[in-house]
Amino acid sequence: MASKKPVSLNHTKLYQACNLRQFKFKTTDDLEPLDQPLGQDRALEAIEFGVDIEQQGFNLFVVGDTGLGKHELVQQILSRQAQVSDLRSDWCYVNNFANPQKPKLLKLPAGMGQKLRLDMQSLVEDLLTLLPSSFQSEEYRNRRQEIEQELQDRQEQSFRELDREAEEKGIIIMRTPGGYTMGPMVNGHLLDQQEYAKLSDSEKQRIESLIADLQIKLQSILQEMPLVQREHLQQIKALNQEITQHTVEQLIAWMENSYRDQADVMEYLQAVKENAIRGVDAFLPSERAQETDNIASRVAEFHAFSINVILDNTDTMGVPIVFEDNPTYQNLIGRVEYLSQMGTLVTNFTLIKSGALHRANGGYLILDAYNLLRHGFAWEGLKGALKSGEIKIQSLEQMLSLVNTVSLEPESMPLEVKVILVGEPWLYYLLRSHDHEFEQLFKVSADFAQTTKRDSESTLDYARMIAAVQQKCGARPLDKASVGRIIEEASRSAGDTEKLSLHMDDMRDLLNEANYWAGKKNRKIIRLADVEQAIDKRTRRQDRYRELLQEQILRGIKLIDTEGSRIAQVNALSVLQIGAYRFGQASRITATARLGRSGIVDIEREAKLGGEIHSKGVMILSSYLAHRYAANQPLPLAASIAFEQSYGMVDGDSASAAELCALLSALGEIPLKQSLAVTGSINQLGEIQAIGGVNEKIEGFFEVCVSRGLNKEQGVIIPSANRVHLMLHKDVREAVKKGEFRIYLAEQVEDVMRLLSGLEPGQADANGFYPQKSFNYRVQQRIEKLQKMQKKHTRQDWEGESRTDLGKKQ
Amino acid sequence: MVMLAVDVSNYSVTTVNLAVDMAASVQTGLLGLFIEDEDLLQVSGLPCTREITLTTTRERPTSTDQMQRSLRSVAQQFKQTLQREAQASKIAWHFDTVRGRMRDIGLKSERDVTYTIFGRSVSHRLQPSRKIRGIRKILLILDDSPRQKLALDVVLRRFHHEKIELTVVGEDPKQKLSSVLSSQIAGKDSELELTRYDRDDLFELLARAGSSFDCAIMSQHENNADLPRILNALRCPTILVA
Repeated sequence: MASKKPVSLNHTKLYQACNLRQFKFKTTDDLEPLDQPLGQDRALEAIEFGVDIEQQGFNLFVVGDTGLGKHELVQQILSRQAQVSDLRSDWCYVNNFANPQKPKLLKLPAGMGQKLRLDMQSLVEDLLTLLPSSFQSEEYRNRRQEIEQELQDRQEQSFRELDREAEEKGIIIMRTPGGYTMGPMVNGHLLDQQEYAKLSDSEKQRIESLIADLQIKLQSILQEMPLVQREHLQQIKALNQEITQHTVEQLIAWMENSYRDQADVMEYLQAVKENAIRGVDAFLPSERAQETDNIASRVAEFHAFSINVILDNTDTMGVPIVFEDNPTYQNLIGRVEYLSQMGTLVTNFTLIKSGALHRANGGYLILDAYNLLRHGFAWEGLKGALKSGEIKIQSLEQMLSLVNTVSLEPESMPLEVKVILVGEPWLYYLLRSHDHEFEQLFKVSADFAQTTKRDSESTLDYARMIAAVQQKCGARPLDKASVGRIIEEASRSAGDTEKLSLHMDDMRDLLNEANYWAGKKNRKIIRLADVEQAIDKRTRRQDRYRELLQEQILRGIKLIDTEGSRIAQVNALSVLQIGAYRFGQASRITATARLGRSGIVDIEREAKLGGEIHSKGVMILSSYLAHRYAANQPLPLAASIAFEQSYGMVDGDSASAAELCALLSALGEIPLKQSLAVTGSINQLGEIQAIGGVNEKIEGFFEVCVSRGLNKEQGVIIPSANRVHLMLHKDVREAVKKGEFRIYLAEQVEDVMRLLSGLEPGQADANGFYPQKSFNYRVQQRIEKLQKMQKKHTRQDWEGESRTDLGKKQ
Repeated sequence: MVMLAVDVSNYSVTTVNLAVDMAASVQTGLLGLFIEDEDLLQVSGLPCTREITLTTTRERPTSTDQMQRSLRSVAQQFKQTLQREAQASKIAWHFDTVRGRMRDIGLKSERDVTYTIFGRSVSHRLQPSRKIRGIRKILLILDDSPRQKLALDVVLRRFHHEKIELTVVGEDPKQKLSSVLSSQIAGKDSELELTRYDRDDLFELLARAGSSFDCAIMSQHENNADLPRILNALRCPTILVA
């Protein structure tokens, strides 16, 4: 295809300014703020669908880059939705008196959890007050005294009878340190050893017989003592229970009346009643109790009767909407905390803490997907809860079977929640491709657009959106010129004159910064100069590294020519990104060409500094070269291409046009103008294709040229397709307007070569030969030369080999 | 000086505490006297004698030496308890062991002993749980001594916060007891129930309820014939006021 002579762009084509005449307002105060997100109709529909549908697994993943306002929109929609429903419950963990290791869960109407907690607290206070009183009553003390007196009488009676019998038989019973002993008496006198020895054998036998008989009776009395005491204890216990039961039943009766509609609470109160009666001793003052111990401080000891309200919806309006910004496993699922007591960790059901899933139950839980995946096992915990439809609180150690210590196993809570994950696209696609359960649990995706079309309608909407943000931020109103400038910046951010960026964060930041500068000048309205200043100051804050690189070029440390001509050397352009800041940078590309068979060597690739896309670009240009100049003959070429003074990774194919030009220059020994820089990728047919970051690239080279002095020859060659992306800085536009700098559009490699070399590409004749003054002719000639040299070398090699063979035969 | 006399069957920490409180109140020293019961030692040496142990109810042979060791062991425990409690109350104390009979030694008047406390154990009797405040029964056999009022003051203080049934035997012609009780009870949390008996009804009372008292106070100068009878009927620590 014949190449047209490229033309440089008029300065009016380098920037799509905002048409301020379409704005009918003076300041943003005159605008009705936009209440719907701009350009996110698809995402909006998806979120509304995801929130509405009630089937299991229809959880939502909101996909989009950071700063698009995903969280805001989700909150906005949920807030509307949440007011519709009013099904709320309180959840409480209570002691399981039968098995304290497995606390029970109570579901109560909203607000009743706290009421039950306070009622139980009052009950314990009342028990602590009234039970001791009951036990101090005259009635109780008399009845107890009766029981004790009876025991005492029974015991003393037995001993007294035995004493009397022993005395009658002339035996004395005495206490020893360990029990009792008996000895013979004669006339009230205790016999000593000599006296006893003098007794006749029959007398001794009689005494021993008497003692043996009395010992049996004494043993019988002593053996009976524990049984008597047990009987006595049972009598006291029965008395205590009778007194306790009366008091406890009276106190619990009014609670039962309050909660008679709650079957679970009634069952719990029954257990409370039984356990209070059984454990009445705990309610009585301890032996070490101080007079200063008040009831309130003692209530804390009775955690078994307390209520752990893990979810209190007393003041919740509508369904819960919970955003958990630190979604660790424990913050999601809940946890059991421990207390250190005498060096031992102990726990009970009052130390069960709820997680975000508990709080969001019956409503919506919003999570940042990146944060969720960043915390170990949080994702697994969430999936487990969603799959099982219940929240089971267990520690990670238990879940992973790392510990065998006894801990709590709280009853699981039924879960009905809509989870909304918010994350960037790469996370969404990562989960989709690597987690087979993801699609079953998150069936709805809401994809946020990064840009929207730029037309008069959307421009006006964008202005209303600025008004909304301004009001929300409490910033000064903006005049129409400053609004227009922000819109132009949104277009520049989108890298497209026909698009507007929807990154709300960027716009909000710019607005706030402009508001700051307006404030510095005591302005009541944000003007164009404030927005310009905000943009300039922001650039300056981030510009240190770019300036450093620029300085290296100007000092001749990094070699970039901006005038004259050189063979096999082209100024290419690349974009560097540091955080959110992007800037263009010129790089020198050189090529060498000689006879050989190795083809084109990509030095970046060989040095493992070239990315895959860059390698692909080099392969494409190799293919183009062979197809263009050696379609019917071998191409005996050993060439190499390198990014000079590049010490990091090089990727992307936006320099492939420049690389091809350097190679063609090396082959045809064609000098190329150094006043021009080239950006653009090529395909196998030599067509120049669009690249990214065109504005930054042009501005990067422009800065170098300005620093060295513009000579009216300098400019940048860009792909023709990139013309719609031009939103260049005012300085560039001014220079172009004055004819000091040029932006050329290229569609074919030949357009680029024509501009760089100043030579025509020429039209091949019927035999495929190009006219002599064309650059194609020079390339063609060089290739023919290489082919001839190759044939010559091949023949010499063949003849040499034949002679060697003949010699061997001879 | 306060003297606490105990033997193997009549030693308890409660009695030691009462003696220590008594000594602290009168700001005097405390003599702890452990009496090795010579009757018990004598009986232990007889071939027909066996000991029936309280905890297992099994019988085991006895000897004088073995009983001597047991008594010394109890005496040592008594001494340690006395030391601990006396030091805690910062009072001077002394300990001694004598061999004899409790009644003979304990009732012997010592010139510098103003209060003699007889330890009496209540080992067969179940004590009510301290969580539930019981009724404390005190027996006071009146004389006209100011020391007796001081002893009563100490006992009442020990049963602070508890209901007290005070049984008073004898005449109080000058109504001194009423004034003492008023000053003791004023500002305290005690409930006090007072029952009066004539001196003539003493032994009938002791026969009926002698074992139910928690503490008794009487004069050391009681009739020589009555004193052993009274002590024999009681099962509680008894303060003899000189």
